[in-house]
Amino acid sequence: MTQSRRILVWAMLAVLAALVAYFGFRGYVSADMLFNFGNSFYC
Amino acid sequence: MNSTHWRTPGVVLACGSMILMLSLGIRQSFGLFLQPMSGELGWGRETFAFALALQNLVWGVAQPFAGMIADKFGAARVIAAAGLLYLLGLALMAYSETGLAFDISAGILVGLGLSGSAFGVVMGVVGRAFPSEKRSMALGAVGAGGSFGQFIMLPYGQLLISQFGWLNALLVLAASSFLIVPLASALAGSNAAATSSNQSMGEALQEAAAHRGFWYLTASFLVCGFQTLFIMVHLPAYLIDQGMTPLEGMTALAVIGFFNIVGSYLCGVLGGHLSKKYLLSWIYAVRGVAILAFVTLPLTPWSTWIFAAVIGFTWLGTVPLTNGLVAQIFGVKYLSTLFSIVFLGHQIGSFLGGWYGGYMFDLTGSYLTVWMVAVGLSVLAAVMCLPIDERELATLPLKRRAV
Repeated sequence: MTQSRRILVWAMLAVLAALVAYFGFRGYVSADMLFNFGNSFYC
Repeated sequence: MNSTHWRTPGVVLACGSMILMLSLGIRQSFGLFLQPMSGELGWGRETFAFALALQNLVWGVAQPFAGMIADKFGAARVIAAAGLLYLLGLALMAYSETGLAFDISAGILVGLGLSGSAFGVVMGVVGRAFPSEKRSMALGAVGAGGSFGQFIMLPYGQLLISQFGWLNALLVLAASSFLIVPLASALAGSNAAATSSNQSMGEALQEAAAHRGFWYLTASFLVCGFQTLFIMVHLPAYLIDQGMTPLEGMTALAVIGFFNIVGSYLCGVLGGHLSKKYLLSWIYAVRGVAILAFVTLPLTPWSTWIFAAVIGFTWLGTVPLTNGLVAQIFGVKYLSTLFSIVFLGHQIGSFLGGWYGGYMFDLTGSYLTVWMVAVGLSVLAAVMCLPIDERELATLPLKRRAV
């Protein structure tokens, strides 16, 4: 694998990781999650 | 094309990661079903909690047997059968109307499914697919796949419940678990290490039993199970008891999940360059310090998230290091079997962590005692890892093997 292709692959992986982290975190703090799951710990 | 030609180490790693992602990730979402199922079916919380505790126990007890069958007859068959049991368990969960039916589906069938499709069996194949200098990195990468599943499946499960209701969500998860079956074909093939050694399984077990390091690893892994399950089950409740909001509690869980992915991979990479026993010792020590600081310093959202990041980083980082150490000392021929026995220690710890946390809270109205026990266990585990003799047994003279 050439150096430029290696950099491209790592850049794509970094973008993918950032997207996954963003949507993952949004999912964790979504209203549904907080209402149905987070609130269950009050009991 | 040769029937095994396409099963390159990279393919084994990618498919092994996806199997772990599915098996560990789907299980991670079960807590989401507690409220809707208990409410609709009129169950107490104990019915649900007992089935999940049973699942952990069945997983731990069945894991060594799954590992033995995989080492003897091939991992792909075990993983495929486990995928089908997982599917059956999830589908029956959706139609369970009594506590007993739920114990059988969510407890026994899913537990058996996990024993054949999670760490022990999958990591055994991945460990054998890579040469010793790249093995730790590969185990870290496959562990990161499992961590990724754990991170992403919780919000995904919630999305399914919100969109389709809990029953259909379980059926979608059951259909997703079926993907384990075709993915298992990438992990097929003979155990190449079997031809390089004449050692029988009985001899391997005797050899491991006589090695102090094997028991130190099992005991330290028990500590890992105790801490992770206690934190996963009781941390949100602890935070809310301390006046935090569900938003802050859920953010803490997300931070743990995200840093778990990074930590699993990096610990595997580091294990390829540094002493695994010292890395394990550091992980347990760091956890102890993090827990002590967390419960003694003033609690703020930021202190919680920093704690979550440290704990997340060390969460499954123990897995590639423990598995890698078993492979390094005892070889890879019976890696699934031997690691599965070590993993049984982890599951006993998980059971104790989940149960003891609730028991002590009911008894004292506080989690402080359990946090302190977790700190003490960290110190114990950090110390226990130090005397492990990391040398490969096959290279030692026979009289030096029982160390």
